[in-house]
Amino acid sequence: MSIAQKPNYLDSELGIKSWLTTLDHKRIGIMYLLVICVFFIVGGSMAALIRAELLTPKGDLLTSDAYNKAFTIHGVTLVFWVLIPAVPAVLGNFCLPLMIGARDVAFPRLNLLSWYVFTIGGVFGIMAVIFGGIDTGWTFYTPYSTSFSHTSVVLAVTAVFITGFSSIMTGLNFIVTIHKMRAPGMTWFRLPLFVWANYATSLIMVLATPVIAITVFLVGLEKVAHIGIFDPALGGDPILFQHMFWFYSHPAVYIMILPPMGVISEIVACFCRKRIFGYEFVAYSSLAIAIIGFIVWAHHLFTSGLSTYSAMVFSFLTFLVAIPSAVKVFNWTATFYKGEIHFESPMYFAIGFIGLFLIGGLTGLFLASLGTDIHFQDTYFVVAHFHYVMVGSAIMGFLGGLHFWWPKITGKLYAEGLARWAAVIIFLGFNFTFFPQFILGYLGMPRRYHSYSDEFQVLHVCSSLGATVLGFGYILTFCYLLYSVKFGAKAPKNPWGAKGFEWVTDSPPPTDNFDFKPVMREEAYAYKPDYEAPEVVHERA
Amino acid sequence: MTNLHDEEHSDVVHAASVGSYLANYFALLGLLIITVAVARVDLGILNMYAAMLIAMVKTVLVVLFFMHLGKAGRLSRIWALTGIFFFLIMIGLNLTDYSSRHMDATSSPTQPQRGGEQPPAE
Amino acid sequence: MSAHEQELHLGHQFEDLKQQIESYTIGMWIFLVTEVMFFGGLFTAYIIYRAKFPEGWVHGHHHLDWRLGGLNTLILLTSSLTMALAVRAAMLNKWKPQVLFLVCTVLLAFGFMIVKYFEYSKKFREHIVPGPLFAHKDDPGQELFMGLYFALTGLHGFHVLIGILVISAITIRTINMRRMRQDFIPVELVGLYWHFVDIVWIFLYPLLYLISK
Repeated sequence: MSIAQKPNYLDSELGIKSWLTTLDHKRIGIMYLLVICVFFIVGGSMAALIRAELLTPKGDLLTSDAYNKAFTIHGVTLVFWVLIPAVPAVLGNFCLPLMIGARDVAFPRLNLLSWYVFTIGGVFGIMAVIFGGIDTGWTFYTPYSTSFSHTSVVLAVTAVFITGFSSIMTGLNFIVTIHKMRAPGMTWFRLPLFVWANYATSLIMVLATPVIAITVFLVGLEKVAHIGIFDPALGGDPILFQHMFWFYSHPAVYIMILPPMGVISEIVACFCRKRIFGYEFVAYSSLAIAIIGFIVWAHHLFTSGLSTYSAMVFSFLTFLVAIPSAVKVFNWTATFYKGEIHFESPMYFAIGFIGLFLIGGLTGLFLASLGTDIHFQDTYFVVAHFHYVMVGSAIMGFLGGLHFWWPKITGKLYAEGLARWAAVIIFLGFNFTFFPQFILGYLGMPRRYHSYSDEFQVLHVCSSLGATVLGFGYILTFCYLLYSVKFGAKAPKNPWGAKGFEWVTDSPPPTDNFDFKPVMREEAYAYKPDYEAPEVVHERA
Repeated sequence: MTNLHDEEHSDVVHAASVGSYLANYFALLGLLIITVAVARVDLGILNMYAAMLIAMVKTVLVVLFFMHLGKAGRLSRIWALTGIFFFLIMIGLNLTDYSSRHMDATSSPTQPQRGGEQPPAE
Repeated sequence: MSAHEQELHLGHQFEDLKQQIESYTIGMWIFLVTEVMFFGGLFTAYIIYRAKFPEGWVHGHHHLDWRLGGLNTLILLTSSLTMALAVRAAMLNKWKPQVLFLVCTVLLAFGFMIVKYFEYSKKFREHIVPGPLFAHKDDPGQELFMGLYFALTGLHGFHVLIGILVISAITIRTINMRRMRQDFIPVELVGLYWHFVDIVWIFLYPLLYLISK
């Protein structure tokens, strides 16, 4: 069995040092995954605290100050160190060069540097949590953050500032990689849609992230030197902060959701054994979402002093983003039509994604309308809406991708039965957690309070129970995936019978990705009419 | 085969003549003098537009003749324009808010009246 | 080509040098786009506050000396010229003029920082640095102007410092390492960066120093 003994990227070099100095995009992706897991646990445990506190109407578990810190740490860690990097930095890093048939990204050193910068930013974030926490909410709104909060705002914004650069480096790397590193024959319209999605995401990363960098830099400067730029007492305009903050942070939502959308396109095409319906439209819709995503930001400011005229402009622009999002959903569902559908675990996650994204996306329209937004602003309706998109859909897509490429990444098969159960549990747990929050918000429960009127208790208890189920689903996933690394059966090259360069190389791939020179000779997802898919292989549990 | 200065890489090597660099430099100096001179004449709001116009001309000169954007390939040109485009989006859409705030201020006096019509609290 | 010239380094991920060069050039341009957006946030703030406090801007700019600003513009424009000539020399494979022009660029950059140092220290002496000790507390527009002045020129100065470090490193490598003398890519990339720093100043000078009335 000479094939089995061939060195792959995991065992060609051993030891911690070989990992910390690696330039291999696949290893860097895994290093990102490890750091992200740490922050997922931090942010997730804060969520557990929040849901435990909200079981009862009185603030009996946490003081209001402690509660403020809990939801801020929850938001900051999960947004900046989990959701934003999850798919691009882990799955994107691992798969993107494989999918386009390259040996590595264009700038491997920059890639490693981005991981270090990310981790150093993370260390600052952890320091902010340890040295007093932070209570401003993940949005750092001024003048509260600059003039009144006595928590570690400076450390936290430093952390965000530093981490932003890792995002810029990843985005820059991906753009150049996609432009310049494609294999012969891999034209733009033969690219897998995950690559298109990552290109659109990178566009946002390089264009929007510098703005958040300068914004939090000014917050830090204001905090330290009182230059007055966001302080109304000194003539500054706090709404300018909100403009600049959301100029990044709204597109950042699309950083979180676009790559999972790309993942879903891969999974749906593979398990329907069919080219994605309207490939070009799905590809362009990624770019459209990225670009329109830049011109909608002020819908976060509808109730905070934005001029009426401007609010109308932004309301209209916000509705536009529904079009490319809907194109994606319609085209995924249309792909199922007359497809040869295989219900494997990644497909469970993909279908879950479509369901959650549908609810998350459609409720966004309520918030884009000026009239209803006045009612829903800063209620649990908003909380539920953005959790459906940023957490429900994004994490569902991330887990779907992780399950899809897990055999490729680790070379091992996980317990397929458990994975299907996990997908169902996460889907149900998530809906049980956040659907009641739509109703809570509709009834007028404001966000960010640790105590509430008695009438809201039933729905809050539902939500907390759902969160327990959701948490169980995540822990289950974590356990069987980890178990498979050690005890899983060896994965073949192409366990799902999928098309794409990443499935013709070994599992796990060799350090240089391919033992041959990949050349693209057909369309992407050329499953029909004459592709004989290999038998699907998975481990029964 | 790996020498950059070979013929086959002529499209990535772009060295203009020293004279063209000097000409560009003196043009920039000339524009610097003009921008200072214009600022010393009071033209009201036109001063700012003139200063920005001159700065943009200088930028174009630097970008074309020092940075060789014209020879840097289509992709670099597209990206350079992308940067300017999104910068203008940021400014432009921010100004939709700031340039129309006064419209809200004039309509606000009606609000206290509306407040007065509310039924008294029970 | 003479025999002692060694092969240039080709990254393992690239097929050929052309691909490598184009990748680096495009990467640099995209980096500059991120810089445009980075400074763009500050320029946006500048526009909005200038519209809000036209008086404060006029009063604030009297604290700045247009002659020193002009001198610095002259210095940076000249350094852009020397940088462009250094890139030209590198492309024509003449490493000695390349080193000479790079050294000129670094010296001019130091000159810029020295002028900046005198400007800054004057403002600290006269208490026109924003903060509790600001001399014109009654005029918020003036304080915002000075705040933006320090934010903009401070960040720009930081970019100049980075430029000095990188250009110096490349100069030293060119002198010490034969292999580097053939490789014009580092010089070209830092050149692009340096011209960008110059462009930022081209805008900062009229926006900060040349406000009429």
